[in-house]
Amino acid sequence: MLRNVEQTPLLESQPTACSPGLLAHRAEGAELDYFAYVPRCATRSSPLVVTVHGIERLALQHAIRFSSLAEQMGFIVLAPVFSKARMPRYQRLERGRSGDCPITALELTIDRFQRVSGLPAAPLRLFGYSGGAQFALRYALVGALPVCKLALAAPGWFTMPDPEQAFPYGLAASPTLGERRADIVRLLSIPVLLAVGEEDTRRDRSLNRDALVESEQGKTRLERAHRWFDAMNGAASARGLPQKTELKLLPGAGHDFNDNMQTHGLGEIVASWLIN
Amino acid sequence: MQAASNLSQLIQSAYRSFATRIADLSLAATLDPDARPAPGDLCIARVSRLGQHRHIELVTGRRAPLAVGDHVILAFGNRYASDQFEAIVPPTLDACHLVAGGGIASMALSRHTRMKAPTDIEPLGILRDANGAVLNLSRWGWPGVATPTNTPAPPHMILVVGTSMNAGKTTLCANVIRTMRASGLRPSALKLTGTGSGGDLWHFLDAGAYEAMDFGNVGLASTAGMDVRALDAAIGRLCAAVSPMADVIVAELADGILQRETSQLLQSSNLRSRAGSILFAASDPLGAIAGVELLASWGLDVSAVSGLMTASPLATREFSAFCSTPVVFADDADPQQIAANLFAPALAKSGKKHASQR
Repeated sequence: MLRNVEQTPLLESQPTACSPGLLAHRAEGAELDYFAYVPRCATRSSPLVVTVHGIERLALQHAIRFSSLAEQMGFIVLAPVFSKARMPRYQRLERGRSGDCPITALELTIDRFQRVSGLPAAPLRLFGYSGGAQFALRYALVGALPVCKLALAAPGWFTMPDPEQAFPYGLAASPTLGERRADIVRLLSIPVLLAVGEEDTRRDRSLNRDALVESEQGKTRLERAHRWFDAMNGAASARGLPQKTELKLLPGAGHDFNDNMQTHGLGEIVASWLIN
Repeated sequence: MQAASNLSQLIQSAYRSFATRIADLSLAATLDPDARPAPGDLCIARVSRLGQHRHIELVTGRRAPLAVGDHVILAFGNRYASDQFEAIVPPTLDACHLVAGGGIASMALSRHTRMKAPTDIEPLGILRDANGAVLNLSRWGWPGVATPTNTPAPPHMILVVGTSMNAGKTTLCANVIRTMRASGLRPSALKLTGTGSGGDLWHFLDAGAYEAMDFGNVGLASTAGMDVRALDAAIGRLCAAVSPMADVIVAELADGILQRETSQLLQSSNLRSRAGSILFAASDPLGAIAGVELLASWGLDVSAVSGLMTASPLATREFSAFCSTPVVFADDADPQQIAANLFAPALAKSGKKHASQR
């Protein structure tokens, strides 16, 4: 029987259950606080971009900085907040003092947002900046939800595709991983964009100066990005897999998120990568 | 009529009030002592007796002390201030009152018992240009711009309302502005209604607002008594003037939500759809609960409550025992945690438990 599509619109073309605009949620359970931006044109088939803040935890800034791109390109923004009190070392996937797990908390947050907005479950389009990029990379190695596109910008250091080093430096078992496994083949199957400013060479207080990181990855974010990019493509070649990691250098850009989004086109680069 | 050369000297020697800041006084050619004043008309007046207002705020923000015999350049306007004066634009240029330190000439009808009698003024006349047209603030108010349909959505507006004058709305706005700055954002601050005065705007700027504007920028001396459609349109012009660099708008509606224009704007206006989220400032817990309930009855959800009430931990606790709406700025919480309470959609259907449901 033919359906009258005007009377029974496809679920995907229906508007989301959320009002358009900026919204926030206070955690009621094990999920995270979050900010979200729903563009006016959003439907239940609109792509969801999850953007993870750095250690300054400016999630609201993430939601707002992506909002005009969300309007132009029709995606929904979800910016969770890994509070310092609950998960001080979320970027390393370490549990907080009360046992809160950043991986589980993110998955519960995404699940909650999909339920309240009416979005279907779908592979993640995940972006992280600085500490958030460390989290996003490690989530793609370890997390339960599939990731279809990954964009990392200006991480301070990396989990290297090294099976000998313990996680989070490498892929080997560690107390942080517990029962989980860092799956390098899974990561190599994901298209990954790594963006870093060509001027992101300041060794500021937030930069990891661990001797192992300095010797294996380099002294600046720029140098570490180059080393990880080479290591990832080497790991792909060694396994006979296509190289799916791209490196994008931002001329004139340093480490400031606002500046990189507003002056150096980081938002456009990331959104195009994740959506197209 | 005053001769042009004398008028120029008079204007130079008079204190020019903040409320007249957008006017181009070089257009003043005559001073008409027989005109019938209207809201926004510019006048020169002589201070004849000092009362409640012993200072006048200049366009620079400086509060200049007044003395009997001083000349002041004011704008006529109504005033609705439950803790100060109720006043209307008089029908003639007979002696009237300075009813706001920002420079509002008006006729006081009633005053709060804590107020002294208003300062008396004698209007010398209303300013006219060389063509005889009255100099009214509306001449210089921003006309607003048509919004093309394909432009990005405007910034989220956090609308601050409250139980009454002096419930802590402006302090709440300033705290929200600081929170937005701490979140790495550029907040634009708007005072949507009230009486011409720089105090709140300076407060917003000192808190870190990227810009601060009020109804004076769209040509109004005050908003009391205005037709709500005209007021809604003026608010639309003000919103259209917000810088494209602003990330979020923090906007304050003056007085309490029972005030005529405020209640009308909240019940039926374009402002309802412009407001992304609403914060409520209350001086006590019962007022806070009543405000949340009244706004809910108008289809508006309050994102968080704050205001003078939060100075008292006991009062805050009383509120929270009866209403699940979050309280903000009651302690030194992390700005990100506070921010998460500021964006519950104003027009979403409430799922909160209010007093009657608890």
